[in-house]
Amino acid sequence: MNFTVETSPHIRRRANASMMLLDVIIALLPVIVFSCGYGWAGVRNLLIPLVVMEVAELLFVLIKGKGSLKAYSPVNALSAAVSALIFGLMAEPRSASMAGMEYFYLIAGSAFGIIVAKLVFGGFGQNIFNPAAAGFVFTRLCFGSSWTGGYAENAFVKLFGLGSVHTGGTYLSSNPFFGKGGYSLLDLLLGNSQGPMGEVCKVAILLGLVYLLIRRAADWRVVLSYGVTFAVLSLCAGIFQQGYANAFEFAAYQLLSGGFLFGLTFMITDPVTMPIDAPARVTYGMVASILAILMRFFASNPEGVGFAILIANAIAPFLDHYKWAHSRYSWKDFLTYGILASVSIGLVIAGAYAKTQGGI
Amino acid sequence: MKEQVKKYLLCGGTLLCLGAVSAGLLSGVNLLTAPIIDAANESKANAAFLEVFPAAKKFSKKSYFASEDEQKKLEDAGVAKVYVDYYVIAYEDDAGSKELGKVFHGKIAGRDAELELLVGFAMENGKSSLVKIAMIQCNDSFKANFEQNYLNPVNQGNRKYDDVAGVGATITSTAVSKVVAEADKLFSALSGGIVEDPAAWNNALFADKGYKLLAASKDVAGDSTFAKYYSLADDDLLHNEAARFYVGSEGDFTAAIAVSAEGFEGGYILSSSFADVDYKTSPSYSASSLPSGITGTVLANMGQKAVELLSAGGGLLTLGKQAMNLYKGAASFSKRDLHLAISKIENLGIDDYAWPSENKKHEIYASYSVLDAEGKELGVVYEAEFHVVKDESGSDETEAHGGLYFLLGFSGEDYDNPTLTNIVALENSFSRAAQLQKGCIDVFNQGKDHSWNAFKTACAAEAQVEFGDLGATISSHALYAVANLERQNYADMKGGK
Amino acid sequence: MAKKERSPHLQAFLNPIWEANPLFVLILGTCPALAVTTSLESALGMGLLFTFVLVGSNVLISALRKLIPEEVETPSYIVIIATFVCLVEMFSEAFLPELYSSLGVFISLLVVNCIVLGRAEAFANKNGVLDSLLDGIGNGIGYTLAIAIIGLVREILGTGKLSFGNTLTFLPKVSLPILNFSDYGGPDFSLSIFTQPTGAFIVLGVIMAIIAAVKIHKDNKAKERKKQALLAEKSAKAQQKEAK
Repeated sequence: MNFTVETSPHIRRRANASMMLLDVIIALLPVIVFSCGYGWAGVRNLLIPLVVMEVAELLFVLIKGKGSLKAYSPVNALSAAVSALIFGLMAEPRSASMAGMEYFYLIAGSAFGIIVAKLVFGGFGQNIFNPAAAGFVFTRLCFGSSWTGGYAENAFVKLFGLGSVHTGGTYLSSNPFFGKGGYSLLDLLLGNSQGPMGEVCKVAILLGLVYLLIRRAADWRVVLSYGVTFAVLSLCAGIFQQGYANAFEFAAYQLLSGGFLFGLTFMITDPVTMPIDAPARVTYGMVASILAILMRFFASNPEGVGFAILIANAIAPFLDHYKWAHSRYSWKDFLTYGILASVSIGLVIAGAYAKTQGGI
Repeated sequence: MKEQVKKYLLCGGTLLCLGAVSAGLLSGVNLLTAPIIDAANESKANAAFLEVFPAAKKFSKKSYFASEDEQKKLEDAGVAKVYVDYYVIAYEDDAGSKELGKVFHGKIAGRDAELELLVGFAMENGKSSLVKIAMIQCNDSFKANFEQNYLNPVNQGNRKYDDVAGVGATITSTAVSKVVAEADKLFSALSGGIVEDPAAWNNALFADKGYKLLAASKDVAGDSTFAKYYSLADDDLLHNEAARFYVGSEGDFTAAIAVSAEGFEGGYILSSSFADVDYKTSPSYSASSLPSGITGTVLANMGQKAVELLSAGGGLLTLGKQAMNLYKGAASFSKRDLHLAISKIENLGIDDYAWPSENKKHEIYASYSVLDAEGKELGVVYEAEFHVVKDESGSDETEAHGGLYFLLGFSGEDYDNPTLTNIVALENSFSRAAQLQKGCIDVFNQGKDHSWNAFKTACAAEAQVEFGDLGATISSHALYAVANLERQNYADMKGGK
Repeated sequence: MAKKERSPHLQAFLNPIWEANPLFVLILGTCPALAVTTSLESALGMGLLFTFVLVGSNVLISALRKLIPEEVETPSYIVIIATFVCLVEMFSEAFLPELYSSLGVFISLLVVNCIVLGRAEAFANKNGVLDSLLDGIGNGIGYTLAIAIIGLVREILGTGKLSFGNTLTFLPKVSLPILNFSDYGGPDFSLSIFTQPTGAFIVLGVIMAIIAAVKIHKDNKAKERKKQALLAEKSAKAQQKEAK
């Protein structure tokens, strides 16, 4: 009997990979529309990675097929498009310190993302790391300090008449434990703040999230574990920072700022990089969320979500190891969740306490 | 059994031999290379010293004040070593016989990191004089300000090293001036010179008055007895001079003479060859209890001279005096304590700048009514300050913080547009101090139009001078806000609207 | 046709340069390979010092191999290697101070470098002095080439310039801009991630992959040739049979 080995994503539905990728693109549409409101600065961030990644995917199929395009399927095009759009949405709609260099940064970042994080491993379904996250990290590490030009204004934000468009740094660039940086919750929700294009308008992201959950293109376990862990840890930090009264407001600010919602909706739900079994997926979500919180509070890195997701991607194969992977929840899983939760809560509380004492 | 012992001996012996051979070889090579390495390290270290004394041909080995002789000298002079850890003597010639000066190495914690610096002192006319300050390490984010406004002027001789006002990198300059002051004392002590410690004199003679010492000393020109003086102020902001210490010598006798508005207050003996008084144990004497004998006579003599010198120079520089300086032909003044709070503020166009708030403080202390010789009022001068305390949560360096303490005079009958005197900034410690001074205060002072409207224009314009887009807008707007309140008070006082 | 057999001495010399390259094939000595390869110059300097240590220790250990009892092999080798490392350290501190300060602690780490100890235990204590010498030189050249390649790639991609004369001060001080024209007011196309350990790992991985690919290709070709040879032999035999 011939057994065929199925590559991940392993999905037990009547849909196939193309449909799932299409769902993701549809879910991205609200955010894309919002980003186009930035004018050329926004559109170029999406267009250039798209072109680069599609071309790279095409060349890859050519080389692998030794010159023939027989193996090229819609899945290639769609997956390249999804990665490109997510990567583009993580870029900021601003110009670089030297004119014209932002095109180079986008090209280099997206090329690195798709080649080193996806094609080298074997193409769709074989990659360990999320190519958009890898490209984002690469761009941030190499060119982060050169992206200092003017931030474009968003036409939609102006349309909603939200008053003065804030031109300060991202809300989180000052110490996230204190201060609110002058943004109100409504500002953050509707996109009247600065930061990467896709992360700014939370309403658009939430629309996408709802669509993905309805269409079952995103595993609700991961979303739930990631979101709940994040919320609980922010709450703990808030209790120790601001007292019980302001803790919920603090937590709300944390949930609505930085890359949290964007990572939740589009990056952590990528089925290729997730572990296979349900209990492992919950652990995966928890770990990514804990790392993002720690980076945000203690490493002064407001965009820690991208880094945290890459690290979680790295441990996903470990969670899938045949020696201990299982598909039904067991006491070992709950023990793991308990340990992770208590360790992380302890760390956050200790850190919050230390900061109030002026220690850190 | 014998086999085992033999084996152990063999193993141990092999290791021992190997160890011995390698030890011998390495020590031989060490003997060979150590002098080369030492010479290289020394020339690297000497490179730093050469920056301070470029003409020196040789530097002595580092001395850590360990020898008994050095310790005794320091003890005699009463100098404590806090920041300086070693010094090196710079020689003019290769043989090391003619000394050029001494280079002191000091470390102190500045704003962001430890500051490491070398200070060179040389003997000039029997007194210690600063040769150069060389920074080995300075991680201050305001390094440019520090270099431009403090380090370079001090090294060129245009600024005294203890004058740290208006630098724009105050914390670093204060730290550096502390090290230099200590090095100064150490140099004087080691060279057998006289160590000046005006803080000690203040404690000894004015302990009950609570005067505060201004750091910078000022030189006295053209006097045979006195070379410099230190000022003492009686207010927290150190602008109302209450007394002075004049440092001078008559022959071998050197003392610091205290004079105030009341006259000769006392003296602190720094060095004396007279035998009647042991100045090391009891150096300070107040005017009412001078010792009998030659010491007392000389002290009284010097006191008299100091009082004459003070009145010849125009007396103590009190705030009232400084207010009078703003008007030509001023003869007297009368002071009125105020302490006004700001209730209304006219916005010059920056939103988000809520004033007052918990980190923006202000005070109008007094007004001086300046009169001329006939008793006619020339104008009213206000003494005020506003101060922005840095917000703890903000890491944004563009937020202005610091303070401005200034004098501004009003005259004229048009209370909506009175005539102003020059703005005298007595203390300007904003991080963008230079911008505020050059872009706003100087612009107004040097302009022909000294009306209120011209002042408003000068404050409203972005104080962008030479420093790109990091101006001093917020502080110039705050200056306007406080001045506006003064104007309202002036109008109220004069019975206007 | 069988491959020409190399003489054992030549084999000892050429083997570690390509077939058994200590860094890319045996994956030994990766710590300095990632740390000192931020520039081509430091990599070359490190390779030089490494070769010296390796050759010296190989020769000495091989000369003493009959005298050192088995039980104290490893400690003795460490003593010998450490002696050479200290010698190299002192000489470089005295005569090449810029190289010494740029390599820093990694000179001292040569004591525990896997390659040095590995060759001592695997080769030098079984072979003669000449072979050990050639093996040492070969490994030295192989390792130097390997880290030089990594250093070249990292320097060009990471800083955009190729500079000489900074650590090896006997070279003239030149700085060739390849990707980075910021010295001349132009744009800067360098990818600074490659000056960090992240980039080092990526470069190492890519080069190892390329070398592995070449090896697999060669092996496949050899297999192909063997198959062809067997087929040819079979058909020749068949022809012979027919002819009979």
